[in-house]
Amino acid sequence: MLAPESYLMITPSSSTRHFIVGIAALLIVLIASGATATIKQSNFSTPVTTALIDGTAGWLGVNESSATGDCHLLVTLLRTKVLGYCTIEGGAPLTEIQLRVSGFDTPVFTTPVVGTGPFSFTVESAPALLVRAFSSDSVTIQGHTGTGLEIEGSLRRPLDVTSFSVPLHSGQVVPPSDSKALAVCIVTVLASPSFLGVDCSHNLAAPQTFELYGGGAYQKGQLALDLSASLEPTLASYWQPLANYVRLAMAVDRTYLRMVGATETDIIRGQVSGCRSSATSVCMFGRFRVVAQGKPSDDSSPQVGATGQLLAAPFESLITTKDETWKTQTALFSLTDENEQSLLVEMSDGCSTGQGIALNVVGTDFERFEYFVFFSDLLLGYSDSLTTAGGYRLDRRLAYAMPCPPQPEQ
Amino acid sequence: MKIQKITWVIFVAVLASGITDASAQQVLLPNSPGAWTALMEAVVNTEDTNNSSSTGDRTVASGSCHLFVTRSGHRALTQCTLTNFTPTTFSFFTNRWGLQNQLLASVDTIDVDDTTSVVLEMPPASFVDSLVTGEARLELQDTSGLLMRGTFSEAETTITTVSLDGSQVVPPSDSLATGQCDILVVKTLELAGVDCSLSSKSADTITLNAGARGRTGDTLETFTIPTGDSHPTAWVATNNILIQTTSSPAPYYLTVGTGTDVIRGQADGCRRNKNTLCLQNRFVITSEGELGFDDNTRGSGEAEPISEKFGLLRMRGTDKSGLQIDTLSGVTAYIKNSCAALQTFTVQLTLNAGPTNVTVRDTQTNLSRVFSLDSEGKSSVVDRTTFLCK
Repeated sequence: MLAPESYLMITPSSSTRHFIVGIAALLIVLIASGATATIKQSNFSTPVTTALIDGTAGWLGVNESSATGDCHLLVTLLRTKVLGYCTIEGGAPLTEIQLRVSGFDTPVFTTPVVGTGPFSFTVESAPALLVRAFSSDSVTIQGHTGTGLEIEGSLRRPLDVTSFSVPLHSGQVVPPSDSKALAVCIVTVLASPSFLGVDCSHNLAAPQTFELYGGGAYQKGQLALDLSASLEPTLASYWQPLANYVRLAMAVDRTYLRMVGATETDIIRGQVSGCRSSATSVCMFGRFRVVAQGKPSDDSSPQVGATGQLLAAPFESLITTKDETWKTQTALFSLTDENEQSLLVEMSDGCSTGQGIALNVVGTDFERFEYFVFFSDLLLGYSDSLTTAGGYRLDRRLAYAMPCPPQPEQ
Repeated sequence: MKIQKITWVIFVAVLASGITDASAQQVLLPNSPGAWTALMEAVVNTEDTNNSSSTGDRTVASGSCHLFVTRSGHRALTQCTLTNFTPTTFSFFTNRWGLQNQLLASVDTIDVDDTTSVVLEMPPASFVDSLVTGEARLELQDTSGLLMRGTFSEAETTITTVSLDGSQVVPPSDSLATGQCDILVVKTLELAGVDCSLSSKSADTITLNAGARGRTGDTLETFTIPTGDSHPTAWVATNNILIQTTSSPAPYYLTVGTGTDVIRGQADGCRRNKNTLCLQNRFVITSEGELGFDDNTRGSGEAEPISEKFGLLRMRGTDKSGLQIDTLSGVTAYIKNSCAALQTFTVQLTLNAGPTNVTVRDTQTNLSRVFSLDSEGKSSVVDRTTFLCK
């Protein structure tokens, strides 16, 4: 067990003390020896859609076709698959759907379809060309008939996406099960149109059932969706329209995922709650929900919410020494579209070896703009904030430190 | 209450296992071609060991393979230099998220030149992703079933992006074709990669010449490309003069095609490497200062681009044992294009480290400015300047 003070809640008035704690944690890193550093990459499920920002259809008929509709695609966590779902109204029945990347003459994916939909399809294995092109909004989706192109639309990343990182294990089953299996699911919820993605890796032997229930933590709920058809030996991937009542239940943390293996006692469960990511909220280490507000220098308005994103591979590290392991993640918050007034927030998690969680922030210009960063530790249940306001600039490098949760007894 | 306590302890264990590291969002860094290298080792099984000991000496296979992945991700070119091994199959694997040895692609057809090479069209995204994390593996197999294996690690490269058209040819050509090429050079491996996107498919050669804009110069390398490909690539062993030219500020240019269809592009933009940040594809920013936490060591910051306009030069230091410390200590750089209103680019630098010199060079005018930033007595330092657009 850790020392009792490790449980103390951090308050602004104790910032000096925790800064010292942070420096001490840092020194421990510094004296580490015989170590190697490895860069790790975060990953994610990425949705793209033809639907326009105002919710109107963006998959539109060409060559005087009256067809209209929308397509929504999800790139899975492992980047092995792209799941597609298209609807169409009017126009001639389709015979083929194609995905095309701007600048390339031939389609990167073609699948036969029949009729007027809705159409579900899977790109497997997803080529790097396609996945990279999604990030630059340079993919179009076409519907063809026997006589030619019928409907076409551009695929873009939607704005209103919320993603949950959901670990499933035996401890969340009511009552707890004997299962040793684990799973992690990324649950992706599109607000408009209402769409659900569930993308999991698991080690359940011979999985039989996978379901979404309505219900709070530590309670038995009611079945909302049967996801069993999406189960594979080590994966599960689902991408379908979502009923509004389920989406609302998700918004108030009252849904959970449940997987059942070959026997009735081999059950794992995970609450779809807490640590979520959206355009303005970042989930770090599956535990800290971080949001930021700021006052732009050229804006007389009060504080505005900053966009938040987790940075990619080069900003993640796994530093392993003989006695310690530190993992880092970095988030970028921006008050402007062009990242002119940005804040980088780096978290270093050394809790697996009892070293605490350290925080470091860098801004592009603390003299001209203010930032307020809010942290919620969903595991220990406390919140705190950090400010760069009023010309106050954080001290060099390490700025803050947080305690580890009590570790499981050995 | 007891249930909650048990649940909580298990949840902590789940977090500690790292399985929840998956993150729902990430900023995608600007795309660029990349190069990776793998030291290949023969896979020795028990039977091989027994045979070897019974027959006396058996030649040991060895060598290395080098991978070039294009900017768009449409192609992966592999080139191997091997001793005592002639592979017939290249298999690409990854180990990710606890899923071990996933076979993602396999290529049987190989071209035998001076070296053994394979072109993988449309490589899987999961393989290209796992290159960045050091989890991508190559396996070679010969006709007798013997195996060699290696894991790819990133090679240090210099990359230049060139825009081509007919007006840059001396004298200008009538071609209406346009194109963009990335030239990637790996100095340590003496390899060069070319990755082009062209509006025309008729070209069968790309040449790299020394020489400034408006002039012609000696040909340093000729890359043969198949006609009919609007995204031609090359990944070849190259000469020292080309490496020196492309790695230094010396002027050079590319030409694509021949005769009246020829187009040319001058390599006068950024030459990006591990320590140069390229913003607006025009300004090269480098830093030199105290590295990380060992204040006795000075060196160059490592470039971490975040967008076309914003990046970080990270002062990644090591402790006495050699452990690399990754922190945000360094210089953030932001360049705003205000050409429409003010006829200038605005450069904004912020220091969050020890005394650091930052050099900003405009590759179009070759004008450089050096900023001496020192945070002594202060926790961060901001400096700004402007560069004229023309």
